Amino acid sequence: MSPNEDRKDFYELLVRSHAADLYRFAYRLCGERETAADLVQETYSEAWRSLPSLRQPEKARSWLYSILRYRYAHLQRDKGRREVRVGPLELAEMAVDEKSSGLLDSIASRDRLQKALDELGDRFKEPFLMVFLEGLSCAETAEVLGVPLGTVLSRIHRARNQLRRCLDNNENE
Amino acid sequence: MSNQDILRNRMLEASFLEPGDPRREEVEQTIAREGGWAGEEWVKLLEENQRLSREVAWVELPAGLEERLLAIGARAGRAAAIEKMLGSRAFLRVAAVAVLTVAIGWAANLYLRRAGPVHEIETIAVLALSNHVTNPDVTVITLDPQYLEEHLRAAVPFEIVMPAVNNLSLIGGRSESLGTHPVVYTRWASGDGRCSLYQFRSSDFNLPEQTGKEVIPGSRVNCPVARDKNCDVVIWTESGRGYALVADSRNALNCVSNRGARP
Repeated sequence: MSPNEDRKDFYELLVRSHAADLYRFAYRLCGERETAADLVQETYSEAWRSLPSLRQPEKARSWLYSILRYRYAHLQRDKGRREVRVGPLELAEMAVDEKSSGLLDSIASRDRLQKALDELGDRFKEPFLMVFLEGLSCAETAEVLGVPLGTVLSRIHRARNQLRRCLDNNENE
Repeated sequence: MSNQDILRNRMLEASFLEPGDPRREEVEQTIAREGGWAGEEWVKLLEENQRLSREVAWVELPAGLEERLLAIGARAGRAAAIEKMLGSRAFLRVAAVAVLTVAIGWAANLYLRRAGPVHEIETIAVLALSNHVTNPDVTVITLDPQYLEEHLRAAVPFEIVMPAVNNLSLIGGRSESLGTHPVVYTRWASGDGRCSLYQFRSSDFNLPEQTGKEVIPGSRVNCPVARDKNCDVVIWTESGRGYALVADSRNALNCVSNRGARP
């Protein structure tokens, strides 16, 4: 097999193994579906270009996440702070009837979760997502973000409290 | 900061480590010595972690995401290949055999279609093996399959049914995806080893509703991260439910023989 075919096969494996998780992470970071899809696409474009320089294939997952976080930081710097808004419900595409009302409630409660995440701001949201979605330990998160471990723990603690209130409110409604 | 607050911070940090991690075990021993409030808070912390992980990970994926991303590699690969060909003296020879290649490829495609969903089986094997090595975490820790089914029921669009297994003890599970298709992932102990079992809809991977068990040797799967792990993948379907088991090469097929009992 030629080097180019190896590269293509490995790239395909990276897409099939990690694209879904990366999208979830991107969506929870930015709160917008189109932007999340763009971030993931930019991540994989960069991954394709840089694949020959990846020395440890077993660390491909964390490598992809670091590219995505870099792209997100770049996006935030370029466009400034976005106005916080709830992600699209696509209500216009769904017929509202008795059967779908439960599903709409479920979607609505998911978007309240996203709104709660967005209201946290990146300082608290990012370490929380890095631990809960990316699967890093708190110590690894502290190292990546360049902050003390205690700072990461207190930010995660605050994020948890906010999201717990959001989820508890959903259950009480 | 009080001693309680210090322990709370250590508990929060340890709650994200895998069971069995020495750093987590050290904290658990401290919790056991402390007793009372610490034990209750620890259990509450773990349950809440699972709940938050589940809720935060519940994100609807856009249709066609994988196809868009695969097209990046395909486009870039084609561009590089064309550039190289045009600059190569062998270009004309390549052009001359292109028609023959297309004809052979067409015939091979016809054969593969008659032979069955081989590509889909290989895709499942690669994904399952890769996930087994790189992402073995669970969000629901339990020995009880029924408890697991109750807690994951809402996360997947199909009925969760554990297949018959031999000499495996459940560790836990989570909802997951292979590619963009929903699966239930369960982790099992087999002696000192670990197995990963995935349940999915056979139709998601274009597989027949009922197939025999097919063993795919890990050595034949194009999965760089699992190259040295000596694992095999067993794939089969039952009544529209697809299963993929990843286990040590010695044990793979024995774990799911027909004489096993449903847990």
